[in-house]
Amino acid sequence: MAHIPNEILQAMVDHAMDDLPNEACGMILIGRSDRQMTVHRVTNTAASPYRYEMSPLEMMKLEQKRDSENLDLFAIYHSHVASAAYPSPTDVRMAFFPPGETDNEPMFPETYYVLVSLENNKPDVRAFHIKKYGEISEESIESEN
Amino acid sequence: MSVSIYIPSPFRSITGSKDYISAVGNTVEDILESIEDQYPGFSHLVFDEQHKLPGHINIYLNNQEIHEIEGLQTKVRSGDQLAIIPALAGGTM
Ligand SMILES: [Zn+2]
Repeated sequence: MAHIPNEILQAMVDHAMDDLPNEACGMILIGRSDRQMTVHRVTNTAASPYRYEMSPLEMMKLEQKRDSENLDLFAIYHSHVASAAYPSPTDVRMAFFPPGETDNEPMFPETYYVLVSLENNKPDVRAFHIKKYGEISEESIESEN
Repeated sequence: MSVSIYIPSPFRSITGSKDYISAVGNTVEDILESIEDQYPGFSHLVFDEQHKLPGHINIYLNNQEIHEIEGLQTKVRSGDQLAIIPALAGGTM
């Protein structure tokens, strides 16, 4: 079960809407001791409705922030503008390094992959773990205020 | 020339969890090869079979992507900061 406060869910939906028609992407960091979450928008350098590529420089800065401020990478999120909130085959492939080497451990085994779908009027947000061999396991989201 | 290299979390299994390492060399390529001497297996992470940088590896020298400079042949100076960042990406299909 993924515990995600409503305001954090809303922040991801807002980002997805702001970046239409393109996919939006970003990260949620969480304090190791206080469990405070923060949403960090990352530029989608692909600027496409069908793809996202997180700006490597922004990613590096977030990772350095994480190292220096004792934070964990709680979730990697991105939007699907016209398909379900479920990881695509490409999303799964790219969770591994090198891409598609699903016999390796995924790059971020502990991190949730959160998908925001805008395909219907009501946005849908779902969370997953992507595991070795490309297995997708959905984790139900428990939202709280 | 001694350069500091930022290692992203998915690669730290090879550096014994170190987030920064240092290496010496005159070009970015020298530096990457000298990392392989310290941490065998590192080359496999950053180079493809033709010993080229694949599209899913980004290398930044002092916050500038190396292909915007002179790629692997870019000269480095003491105190420079190199960062290796695997692509984080996906698609609808
Ligand atoms: Zn996707």
